[in-house]
Amino acid sequence: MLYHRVFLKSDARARTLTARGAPSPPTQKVFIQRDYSEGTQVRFQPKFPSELEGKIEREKFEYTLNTLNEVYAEAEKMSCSSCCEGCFACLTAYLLYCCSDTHFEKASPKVAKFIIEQNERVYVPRGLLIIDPVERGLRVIEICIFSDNPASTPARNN
Amino acid sequence: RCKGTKVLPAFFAWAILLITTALFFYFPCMWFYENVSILIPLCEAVVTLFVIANFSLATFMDAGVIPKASPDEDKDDDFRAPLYKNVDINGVTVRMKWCVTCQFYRPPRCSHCSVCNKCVETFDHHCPWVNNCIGRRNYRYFFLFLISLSLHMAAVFSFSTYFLIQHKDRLTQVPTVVSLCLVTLVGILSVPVFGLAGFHVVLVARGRT
Repeated sequence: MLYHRVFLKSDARARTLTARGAPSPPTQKVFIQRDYSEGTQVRFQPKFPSELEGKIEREKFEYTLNTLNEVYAEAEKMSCSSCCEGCFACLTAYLLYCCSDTHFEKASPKVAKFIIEQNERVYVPRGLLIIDPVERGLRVIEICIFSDNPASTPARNN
Repeated sequence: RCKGTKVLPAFFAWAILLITTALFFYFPCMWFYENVSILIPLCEAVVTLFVIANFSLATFMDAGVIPKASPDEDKDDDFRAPLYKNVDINGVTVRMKWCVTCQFYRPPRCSHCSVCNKCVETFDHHCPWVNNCIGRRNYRYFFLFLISLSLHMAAVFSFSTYFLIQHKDRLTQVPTVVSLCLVTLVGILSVPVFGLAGFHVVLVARGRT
């Protein structure tokens, strides 16, 4: 079921990208893998993939990756507040979770908002699209490459 | 494959828990409330609530399932992909195995559950009594369930035994018979439960699953 959801969401986004009418699937997909060099926490490799050479500036890509890594690091950090939240939740027989999200779950909307903003400002104008890693089980960040740059090509007739 | 048989152990676990707890509250506990103190049923109610809350969450919370990868992710042909991929974690080389069902290299501490047919993060085991995998997201509830259940069983056993001793001259009455059954049943079941709880305490203390 989740497999279909991933495709539906990617397709929906691909259609909104080519606002000129004809939806075109991405010509290539780049997958940024997880970086386990510092442990098993959620962290993606900030290495610039060769497939994106010439399509986007290195600094912009690194900014996106580093910000995502920071949000996830913050979400997984064990702090006094997250310990207290856990103990308090246990004491209320977990009814606290009916009213509020866990410390980690609060990161998901932040990541989603950041990715939407980055797509609108940086990636879509360059013919790229980042898919939220949560749709791939936090294993990889998917970047779709579209061959036509909508900003530069005129309207096509199919 | 009959789906009903998968739910059977969990159904029995819930049934035993609820029935013995109800019998305990209705028979011995009432005597304690009337003759000793209200604190005893009150504390027992709190412990029971903990047991049920943790049992429910261990049962219904997603263990940390990683969804199957879609085909567009697999650039190499399935046949040509090496079975193992090495990765360095803090200087230690760890092997990640290719999961044929889920079509990705399993992250460290992730394992494939054959009952659920899914890869689960920090997989501990598939518990039939809970009818769910125990993994990263619900291990704490499973562990607390074991601890609180051990406490609950110890309390039920102790109070029922005390009640029996106080009523040993009235062995034919219903409350006394029920207490005797409770003591026997809880006494027998406490062996596997305490054993498993102790085992997991050691695992948590050593940081291993």
